[in-house]
Amino acid sequence: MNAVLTVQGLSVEFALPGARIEAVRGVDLEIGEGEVLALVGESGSGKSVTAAAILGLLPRDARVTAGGVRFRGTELVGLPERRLNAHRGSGIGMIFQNPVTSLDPSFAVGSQLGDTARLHLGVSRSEAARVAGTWLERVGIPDPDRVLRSYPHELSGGMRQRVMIALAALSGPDLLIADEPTTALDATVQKQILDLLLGLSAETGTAVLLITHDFGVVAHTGSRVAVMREGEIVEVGETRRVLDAPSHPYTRSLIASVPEIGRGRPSAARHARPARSAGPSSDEAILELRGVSKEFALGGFGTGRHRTTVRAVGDVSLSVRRGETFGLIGESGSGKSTLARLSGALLPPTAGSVLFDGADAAAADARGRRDLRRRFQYVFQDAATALNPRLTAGDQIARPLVRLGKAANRREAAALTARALELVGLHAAHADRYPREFSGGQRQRVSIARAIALEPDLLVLDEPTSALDVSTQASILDLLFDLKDELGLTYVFIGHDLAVIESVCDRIGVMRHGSLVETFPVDDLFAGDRHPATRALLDAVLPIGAAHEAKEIS
Amino acid sequence: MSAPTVPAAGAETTAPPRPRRSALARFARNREAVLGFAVIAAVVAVSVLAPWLAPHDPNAADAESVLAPTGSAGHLLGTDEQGRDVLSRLLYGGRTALVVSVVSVTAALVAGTAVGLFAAFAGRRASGALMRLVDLMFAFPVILVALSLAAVVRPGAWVLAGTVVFGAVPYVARIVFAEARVEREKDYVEAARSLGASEAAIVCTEVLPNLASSVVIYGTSLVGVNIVFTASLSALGLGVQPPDADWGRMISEGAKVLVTGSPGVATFPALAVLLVALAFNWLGDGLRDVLNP
Repeated sequence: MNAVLTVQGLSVEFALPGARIEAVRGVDLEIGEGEVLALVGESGSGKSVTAAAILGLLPRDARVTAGGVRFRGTELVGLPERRLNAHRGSGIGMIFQNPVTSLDPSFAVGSQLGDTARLHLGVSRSEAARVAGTWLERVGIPDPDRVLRSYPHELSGGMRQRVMIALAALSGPDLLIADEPTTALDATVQKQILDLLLGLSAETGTAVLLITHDFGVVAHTGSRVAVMREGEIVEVGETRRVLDAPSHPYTRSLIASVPEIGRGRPSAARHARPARSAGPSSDEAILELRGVSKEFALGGFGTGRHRTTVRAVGDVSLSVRRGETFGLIGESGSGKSTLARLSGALLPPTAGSVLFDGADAAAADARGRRDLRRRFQYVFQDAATALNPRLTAGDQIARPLVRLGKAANRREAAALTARALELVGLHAAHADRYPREFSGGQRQRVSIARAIALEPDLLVLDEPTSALDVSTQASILDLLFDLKDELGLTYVFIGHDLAVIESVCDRIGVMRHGSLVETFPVDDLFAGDRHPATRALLDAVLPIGAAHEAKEIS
Repeated sequence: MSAPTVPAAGAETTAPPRPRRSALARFARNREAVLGFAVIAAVVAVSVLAPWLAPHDPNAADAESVLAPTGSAGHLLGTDEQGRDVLSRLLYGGRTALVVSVVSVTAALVAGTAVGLFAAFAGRRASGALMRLVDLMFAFPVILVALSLAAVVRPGAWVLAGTVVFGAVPYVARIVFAEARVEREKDYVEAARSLGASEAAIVCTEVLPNLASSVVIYGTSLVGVNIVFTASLSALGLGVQPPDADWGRMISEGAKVLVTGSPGVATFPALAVLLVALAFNWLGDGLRDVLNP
């Protein structure tokens, strides 16, 4: 194999005040021409640090302590900045996770592409503009002329990532490093972007180092995969072989914790399945939405724009039965979260009514509202922002208990707080910690403890695991469904990961452009007469196992 | 870029947490904050103890030794035009400025925070009206405020205090307004709402703690600025009145003899103002590091 990039025994150390941390330890990698190598690992595994070390872009407090990086026969480690710069961009292209922050917001797309073309290809200004236009066409942008004149903020996320790819690939690099290129994108867009990258690589022979945490992405793209854990590569091999028969126990456990579409939840929590199959205890509706709509006003006085309204949710009718798990799916911007806020009376609907346990939330008096708040709780997507950074975990759990009359005084609230923390697998002594002192998974546990301490009847879970690693996701899902059985809860589970939704829900509702297009029992997910919106979401799933296996179930 | 720390995949332990370092310990390790605090504490101590420390009556003129040079016998820092001891006047001269600056900046922080928070959470009309009023205060020349106040009440500490408050409130309100608008959109505010918190509870118990550190930090630097400002007002005759000692007055009176052979009369109070202003800024910078780890 003709190696484009060879990484040998690479070690990177961070010198932090009071501690030295080896973020990368003796990593060996090799990528050949036209090859796509997926580097997969959980957060903190050192995969991004490895990429930064290859490009010589390590932060100030980090340094390479051992090993080397050879790119086309040149040793990059220890190379002076000026010579390294010649390789960056022209020899090695970089695609970042978030094109919002990595494209310059104050220059038009055309000028950013043109500058790069002139710098690396040494062409004239007019020639550069032509090159930029052709590249936008190559990355699948239908109207390159308009996009060339646009500023990054005027483009959608998928469009921006296409521009980013054009920017990185335009100078014809031998190696592209893509760091979580699709993590910030919708599932339907993710597949298009990955296919674009693969196509480019096949066409131009560019080697690709694809960094990801998502095994679906690995299965879809990489010819080879390297699994990283705590700064070390634990397993390297052909993608198919590693996914079908992982040899390292860590790889095995990681793959096992990834929910797979059409298979239910394969983690240790199989015991949660019987509870699910038991389904709702009755047909009694705990939450009922009747023709609910929500419009938001934009512009108007003082904003310099005409006053317009945007319809976020349009005429949705829906009922959630007591004891069931109702899944709500749809692309981002389809109105799922707005609908969840309307259901719990966090937002007043523009039209229609919301009945919780038979009572209209809008007509409730102060006491009824307080009761509704206690019985209707939320767990938000990112606990890092949903918890108040300046209050201790204990305060955040205890205050609502007193406020909503669940505890008569502070002492009682403290006792209930300790119980809730232990119920979610934390320690009572965690109560006096601030959110930043917890790991991501622990924070989500605190967030769950805050909700269940109130002993609610219904919990809205707004993508509760999408900010977490797969192994953490599995344990949080286990926790949620243990709690559901124990406390007799009803869940409304909002998600974009169809595999997770399918494994935990009894019924599924699909949203598109603010409307609920269909609802069906989970077992009918693969039925032939599914709405096109549902099928588009299904098609976007990147299965780990061979695709036909999933189809067999249907 | 992922964090440099290496939590293992199963780092979600349920073990009881380790004790952590308190904010006080972090403060003690911060050199800037400790230095600023030490200087301020020393200046406050000296000002409070001035009646016992001062070698002479600060207002007692001694016609025998006018403009004695620095280092003369009995007058360590020399004397001024009227033969008053510069060291004694220096010890007394910070009292008004320090008290006025600290008290009125504190008042301005409370008022400005209240205005900014209210405007950030009020409806569009109320918020607009309030912030335009703040703009007006920005545009109004502060020196005119001092002159008009001096016309109504006698020049002195109250004029200084009123002027400082008027000058500082719009800055504080602006900063709090801008930060509160950012906080208002964060998820934890909505989470609090879903947990039954009223608007007042959200503002006071959820958002305010998130603004406290920037308000304290900004306020600390504001005290430093206003020590200089009150010195200027006193130098113009709007603040502390003769014959009472004040750093600002000492500078303006000493300026007359600055180039005629007695530089010490103006230089020592100027250095005192500089040192205290710097110390408050050090403390502010240090607090920023301590409160926002």
